[in-house]
Amino acid sequence: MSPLLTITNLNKIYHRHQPDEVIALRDISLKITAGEVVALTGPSGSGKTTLLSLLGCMSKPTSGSIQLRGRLVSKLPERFLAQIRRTSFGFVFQQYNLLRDVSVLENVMLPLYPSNQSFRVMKKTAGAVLERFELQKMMRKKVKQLSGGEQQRVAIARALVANPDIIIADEPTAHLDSNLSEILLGILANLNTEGKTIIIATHDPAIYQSPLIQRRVSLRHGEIVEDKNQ
Amino acid sequence: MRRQLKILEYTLSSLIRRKAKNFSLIVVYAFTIATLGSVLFLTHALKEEATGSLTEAPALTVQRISAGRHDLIPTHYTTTIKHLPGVKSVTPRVWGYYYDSLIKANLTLIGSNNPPAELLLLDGNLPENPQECAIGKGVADAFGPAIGDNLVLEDNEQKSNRFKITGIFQAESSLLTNDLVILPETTLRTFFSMDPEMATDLVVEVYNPREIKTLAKKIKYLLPDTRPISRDEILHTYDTLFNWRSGMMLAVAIAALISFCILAWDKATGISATEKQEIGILKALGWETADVLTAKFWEGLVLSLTSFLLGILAAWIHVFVFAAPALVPLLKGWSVLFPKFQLTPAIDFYQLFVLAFLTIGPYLVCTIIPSWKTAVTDPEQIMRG
Amino acid sequence: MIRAIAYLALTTFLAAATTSLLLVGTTQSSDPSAKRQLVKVLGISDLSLSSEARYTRHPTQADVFAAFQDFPGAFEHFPTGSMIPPRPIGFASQVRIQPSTEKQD
Repeated sequence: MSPLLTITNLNKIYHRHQPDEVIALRDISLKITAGEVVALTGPSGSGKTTLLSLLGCMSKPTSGSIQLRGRLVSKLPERFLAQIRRTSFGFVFQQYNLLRDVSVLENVMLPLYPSNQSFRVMKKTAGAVLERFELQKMMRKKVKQLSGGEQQRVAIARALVANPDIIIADEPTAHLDSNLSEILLGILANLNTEGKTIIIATHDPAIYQSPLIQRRVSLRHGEIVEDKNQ
Repeated sequence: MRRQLKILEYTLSSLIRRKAKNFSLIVVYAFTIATLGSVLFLTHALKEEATGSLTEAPALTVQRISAGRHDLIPTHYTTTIKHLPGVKSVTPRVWGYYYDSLIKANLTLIGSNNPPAELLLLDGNLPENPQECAIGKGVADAFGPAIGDNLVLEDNEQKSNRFKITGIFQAESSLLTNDLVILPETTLRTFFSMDPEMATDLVVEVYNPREIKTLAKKIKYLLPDTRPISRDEILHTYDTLFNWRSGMMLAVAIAALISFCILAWDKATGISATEKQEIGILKALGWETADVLTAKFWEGLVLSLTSFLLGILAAWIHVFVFAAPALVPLLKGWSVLFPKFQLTPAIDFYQLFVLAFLTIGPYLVCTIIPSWKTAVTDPEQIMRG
Repeated sequence: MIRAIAYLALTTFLAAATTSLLLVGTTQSSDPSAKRQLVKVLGISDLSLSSEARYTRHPTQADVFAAFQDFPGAFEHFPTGSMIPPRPIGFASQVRIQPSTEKQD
């Protein structure tokens, strides 16, 4: 099977040629196949988030290449990257990154604005996703009125609303208790059975030791130290 | 198109989210526009009023200057001027000022000769017999008499003179006639105890308006102690007068404008952490830089265009429906007889366009530029919280 | 998209209202012939806006070059000494300009 995401000799350096230069990633090569569930682990500062954002087309590498379905995306202009983020990726951020003063429905609709869908279809699509996560009752509520677990579900609903192939989650359980983590794992397992590729950065053993995770990539100081299937 | 509408929808809902802030911004913005607009409307309408009706002002007014001051002019100057080629008629006029200690206001007294049968803007008629007068609306309001009553004025010897009021000018003509008292010329001469050989000034009518300038030069040459004032100069005075007055008022308004600018600058450039985060989230979720900027463009346009339209509407209503109650005190000063005028709407579209350009344009720029700086950076930072 | 359409409709309405007011105003300009007749018959040269001094009552006829044109205490030329009346000096009793006190007497 041809890989979904291929990265080759990837380097990422922040503040290059400046006194506060940081080498975040060093010479990383990785192949991810469609339908895989990958956990990126490692202590904080090891480069997990940087790698995730490069995989998710949020920033460009200093050197090296990223291919998505065989297409070289690391050199594409910003406009196309935005389009790829919109159609291929769903993001679940560590801080959820929801607009706190905005209703649940509007938050979930956000990725659909630049699409060609009409406003009515957008509402319908968002409504359907919310229903799936049993959030339809709090559709009109503002995000800041919700509990942490509910916010997490809204964030997942938003990641899925544009029906992407790849879900990228950064420390999704950082603010959840073990009960809610279980539920989250259940949701992710469901998504995987639907054929979604899932990439999670985490240092929560409850996640990376769970049977859902098929592959674990460990990072340290911006380099891959271990890559094993489990 | 659909995409634009959707982004506008998003912008509107985010504006509504901060309604207190944005509403007060619109109020302040619209108020500034209304102030500037009122000044422009009022002065332009007054200017139009002056230039519209004063086209019939005397083609040439000849004053005499003595000791550097306006002085009475001998009536025999008439003969000298009459013989100049191109002169149609020369009429000596008698008019002057009268300070009334009762109402503490200055009146303008004008002597009239052979009044026409009917004046369109006069109720009643002009005085025909000695001891009759016609008065302006402002005088009538200040003294309180009606047609048929008497107006009492004290002459130089502090002797009371009674004049029967035969006519009152209609309110519509107040801008021209507010403080006028029209008396028969002979009566006015007696009242002012003016020498019959003298007049206040001479009015010259000509056959060809293009010769006014040449005639003025000739009069000045033949009668060196005179000062001819042409109709063009009168109109020009009003043109510059209102430029100058509106300039003064604008100078006052500029304070309001500057404080608004500070507010707008602060609001628009000081892009808050929340806004930065919002832009980052939108970018991360697949909004293109152009989409974010479109949203910001709509935000600036919605605020500034709405305020501009509201402000202009308010200014129009303020000036042309309510006769500029907020600006009149500035024009009026300590005037006692100030005309209640109802202005005919007259708009200078060029001025309006400049006002629109100078208010909407900078505001849009102030809104878009700082967001643009945020919108072009990688959305990666948003992942780091 | 209800808000967007509502906003566009409202703005269009506002713009239309403003433009029509502005345009109606300019076409409505009243016939100045009656006023012109008045100007012609009476030989009027100025608007009767401020009657406090010669240079404000008849700006076109005034000798702007004369010092102390009308009132020694008048300090400037802006419409009728702007908001503040000049302070009476000298033989001020003849020219007291304080309407309010007179009414209270």
